[in-house]
Amino acid sequence: MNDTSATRSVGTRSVGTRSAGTRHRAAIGSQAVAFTAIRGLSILTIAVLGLILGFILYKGLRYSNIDRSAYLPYAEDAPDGLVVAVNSGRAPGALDWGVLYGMFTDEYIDWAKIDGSDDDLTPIAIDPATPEGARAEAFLFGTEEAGGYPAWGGLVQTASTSAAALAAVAETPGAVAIVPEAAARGAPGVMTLPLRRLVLAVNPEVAEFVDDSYIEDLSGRDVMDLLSGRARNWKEFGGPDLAVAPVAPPEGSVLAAAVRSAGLEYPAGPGSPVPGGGLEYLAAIGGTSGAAGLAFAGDAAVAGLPAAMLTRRTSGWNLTIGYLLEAPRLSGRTGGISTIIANTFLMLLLTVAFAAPLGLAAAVYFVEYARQGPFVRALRLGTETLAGIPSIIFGLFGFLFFVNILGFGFGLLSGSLTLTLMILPTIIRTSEEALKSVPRAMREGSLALGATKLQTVARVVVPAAMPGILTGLILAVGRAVGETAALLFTMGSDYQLAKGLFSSARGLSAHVYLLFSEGISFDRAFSTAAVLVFVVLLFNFAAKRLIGRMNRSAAA
Amino acid sequence: MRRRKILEGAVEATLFAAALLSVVTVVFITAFLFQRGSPLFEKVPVLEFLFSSRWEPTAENPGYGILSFILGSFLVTGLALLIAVPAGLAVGIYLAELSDGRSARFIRSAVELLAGIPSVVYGLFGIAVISAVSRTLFGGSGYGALSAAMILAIMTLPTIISVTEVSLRAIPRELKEGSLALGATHWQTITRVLVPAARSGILAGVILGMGRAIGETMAVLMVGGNAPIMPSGLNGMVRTLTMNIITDMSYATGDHLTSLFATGMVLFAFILVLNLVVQLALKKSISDLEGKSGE
Repeated sequence: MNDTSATRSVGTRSVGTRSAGTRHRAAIGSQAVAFTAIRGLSILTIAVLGLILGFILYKGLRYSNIDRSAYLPYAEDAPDGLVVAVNSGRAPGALDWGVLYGMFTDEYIDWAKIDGSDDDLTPIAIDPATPEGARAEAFLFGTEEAGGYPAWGGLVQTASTSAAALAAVAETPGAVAIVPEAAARGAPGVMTLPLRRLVLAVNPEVAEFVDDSYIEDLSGRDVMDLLSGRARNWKEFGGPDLAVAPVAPPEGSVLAAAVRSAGLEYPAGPGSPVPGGGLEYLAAIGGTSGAAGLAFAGDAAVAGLPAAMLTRRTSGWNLTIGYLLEAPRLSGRTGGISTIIANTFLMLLLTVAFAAPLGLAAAVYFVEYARQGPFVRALRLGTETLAGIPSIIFGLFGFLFFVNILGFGFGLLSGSLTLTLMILPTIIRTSEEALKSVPRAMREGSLALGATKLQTVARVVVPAAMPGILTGLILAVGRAVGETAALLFTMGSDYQLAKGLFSSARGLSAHVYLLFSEGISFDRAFSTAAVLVFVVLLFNFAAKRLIGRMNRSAAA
Repeated sequence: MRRRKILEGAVEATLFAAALLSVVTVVFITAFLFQRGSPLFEKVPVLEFLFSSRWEPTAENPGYGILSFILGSFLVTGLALLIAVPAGLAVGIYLAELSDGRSARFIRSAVELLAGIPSVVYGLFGIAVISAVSRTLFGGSGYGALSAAMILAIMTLPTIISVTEVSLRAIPRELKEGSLALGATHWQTITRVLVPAARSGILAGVILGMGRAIGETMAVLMVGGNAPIMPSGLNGMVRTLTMNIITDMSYATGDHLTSLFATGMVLFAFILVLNLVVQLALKKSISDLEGKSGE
């Protein structure tokens, strides 16, 4: 306030100064605002760009997914005294009950969806007529008194005893058998997989649709709330308007023990244990409105009780050394990307072999030989136009010309030639700049010594410009690595190692796209993308180093 | 002596041939696209192809109208420029006028890195992040014109930033010093002297970015939704010319395939016009605009 009045009092004395002064002050003020805005916007933009780079690299290295599953994370080593025996060459990891059930009912034919390997699945059952076999059958399909019935799949092979089953498992990489724990202990070539089979069984009414809404996926905390009575109504979880009735398993039962080892203590109070055996317990859940209780998946299925879906967070390393060194299998579902990396480098080598001489020759012509005129201007216009053509047009052209008209087919050669045309303008431009930066005196000196023009160009000018030419080449190749659209129509998509110039081959960028578009694996697409970004960064870094060295030698 | 002369002549001819290759390629691309695309117009009038939005190439009575894809391309590109131009101008001005050497170097290399990231990787990023952001902020499925435009904006930013910076730095020092000497503030100098003086360069850069955006395929394909319908608002699914080509290319035959080449012709025509505008009307070559990379 004081400030304004002071200005005004000065202003009465001299009108001109006042208006210039305030206007200047206002201009300074708006400059401060504008500069702050520009700084802010710039920092914001750069931060966003940095976040993008960080996100891509992070997602490439780690995966973290929220899966939905009916099973609680607790896994039993020997459920009901039985174990799941597999060949000792398998990757260890717990199985879900549903997967085990699916293995013996023809739902799975190989291990691809189970642990990512591509062995065929060989389920082995002990003859159900023997006591051991009957025990395994009751375990898998439920006892007769509970209403279970055996539904062995057609793939299942029968072994006479548990020892025979174990011997078969030790021989066959993809075999699986359910045998008594005592028999499997110490059996050679065999290991056992823990089993997850605890689910939250609910009364069928709870799992009904109400106004298009269905009970949500539950977190671990939700399960605790439900069992302890802290959650009072299913409405809280998007379900029907029913009071929650927690039911506890009978004391001393196998289920109660499993629940206790899973760390899920039923608090004293609401969930009063149902007296009697397991069947009464399941009947109580089925018969009580709004009831929920933990149960084994197999028993709940036989009793006709739905299981609530739970969320499970999984995370781990996405990009491993193995991923880089293994060959892809099953369209990239399993295995790694070694052949794809090799294909990419073969493609780049070929592209450089074509593009470097052509680009350098064109640049030498423009700088050393061309006389200015409309014709040379037209040539330059052609180069500039080529630089602006989008890759999909190059793809169409490559498909027409190299693949069909010249008859090269989908393969390394067609792809590399298409890429060559794409990066040619960049190479010409950077080589031209490098050639132009060679001092005139060097050319004149060489000519004065009696060298011909060709000798001058080949032995003096080009060697002197070499670092600049190389830099341009590296930058252009770095751009070519990421090319996708043009290569999909020209290079094919075979993920095996290319066998020759005409063999269809898939590069890193196409692999990223196909992993995504064929719905194979988003995580794998990201880890391949991280490798791709890393390769691009490597090329950029190499170019930077070269430029740095050039500047230093120029300064010296 | 004569043999040497012949050799020199042969080498010059070879070099000339290499220099000719670019022009030959452009001519070949034009000729082949035309040769393979134009037969469609014997069956479908050009006007119907351009101004009908009925795209049913596999129907009993096939329709080949690409109006919705042309509009889709321009919608996505326009939205992208709406985001990228202000941000790019701001960063360009910051780099040329406000930043000190070290932070400018840092920002410049970050921008260069981002210019080098392949479009398919941007596409993945778009699916993982942009579509979710768009879904939360604006509703809809998250796969549509707005998401595609956001991705394109990020991808055209480096071009616009570097072109703005190069154009601003190319202005003679005297202009800036004269303005400051007259008592104008730095900001007044930027808005009333420098930016107007660099206007043609900046405009050329924006057009260049527009050309890149129209021709971009993979990233928009992954987040644009790709429904062959008229774009219905900013959130609606969109298919651009490039998406139309790449989606159907894998299975098209006969007239359908021909119509894809015709789509390519239309796209190529747009790109050529944009390029020629940059090169002829503004008398700047693309290489001048993009500056010397890596310094």
